[in-house]
Amino acid sequence: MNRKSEKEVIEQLKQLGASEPDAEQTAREICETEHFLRRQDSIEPSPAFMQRLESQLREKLAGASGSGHTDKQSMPTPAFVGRRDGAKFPVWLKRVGSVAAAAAIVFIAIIAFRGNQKESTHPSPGPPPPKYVMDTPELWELELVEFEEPVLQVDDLVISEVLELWTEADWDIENLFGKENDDEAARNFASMVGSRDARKLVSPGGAA
Amino acid sequence: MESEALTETIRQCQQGQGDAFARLLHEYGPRLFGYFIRTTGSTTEAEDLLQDMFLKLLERIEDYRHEGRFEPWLFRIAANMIRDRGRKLQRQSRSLATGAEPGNPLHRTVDSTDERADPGRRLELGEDIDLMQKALWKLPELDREIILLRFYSGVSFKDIADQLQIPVGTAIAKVHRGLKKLKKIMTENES
Repeated sequence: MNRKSEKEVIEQLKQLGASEPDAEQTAREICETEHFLRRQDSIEPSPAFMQRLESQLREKLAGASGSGHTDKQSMPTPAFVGRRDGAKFPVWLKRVGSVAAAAAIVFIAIIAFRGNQKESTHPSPGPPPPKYVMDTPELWELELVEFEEPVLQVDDLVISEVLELWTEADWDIENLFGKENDDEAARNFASMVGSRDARKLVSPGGAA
Repeated sequence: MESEALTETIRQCQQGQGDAFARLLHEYGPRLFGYFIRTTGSTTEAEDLLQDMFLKLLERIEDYRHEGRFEPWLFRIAANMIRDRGRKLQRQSRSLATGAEPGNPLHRTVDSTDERADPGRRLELGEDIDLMQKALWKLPELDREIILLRFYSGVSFKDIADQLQIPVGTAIAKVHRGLKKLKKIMTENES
């Protein structure tokens, strides 16, 4: 912290009601500790990395000046998404993941919507006959679990990501799932996701 | 960089001059790198973030209107990038929790990122972590963010308070307490 900054802190603390000695002591302590940390802090980017980055910036500028301006659209699209352990996986895989997430959300929404529709269009007949409850209590439990599980997996962040993707790609939902055909939607979804969990979601038996 | 020199450099950057960008990189790159590495705990991520940051700068510098507040503007972008990264990691963790399979690449991404975010795990992996990094990870997240912004950007407490939407008094108090705690941890570990 330089002299000007120290004064600024003292002024601010005084405005907040601190006495002058207290404000000065606080500013001094901050200043001393920052000096202490600065002595300990030896991290710097490697010269080779800085050199590479500088060259990259110059190349980018040279490319942009060819087209007259720096253009977001002219940014090269990476072919691979880097992972922190050094390995990479292709961008298309990330896209497929996004499509799968989109498909999952829409499919779950359809299930939830139909469930609600059933409830609203067919008034509840009231509690089942006592004989039925006594004979097959597990069926009721099973139905509730299967109905609620997928709905609980909806995530606001995922929804916002899906909306972003649709906006960007201008996707047509009917092309994605087939027109009003649940079976086709289920098959498309399962083939896109390809995971066991996804298949379970589509078909509790495991095979979509 | 002196105020007039900075104004001129920014003007040249807005005209697309490579030398001017190189000057900005060498002036602010090391401090931004320090901020990124202390926030993420990973050299690789810090390099990625610094690269992204300057590529963003190439696009955004045209819109920047210089009124003597370049550093707060620069570090605001940096802090936003860190916040975006945090949100992405959270999202990945949630995807993992909602059924990603062990064979899924996303699963490995989260694991490997978490390893790097956790200094204890990184020590086990034999990575080099200095005392300051270890001490920083013992602070609450907001305290750490404020201290690092202040330490590397050198911007005023008022700017930091504006940026994080907290009162100035809170920012000063957190830096004061946090720095004292950091120094204590580091001194104890040294001795």
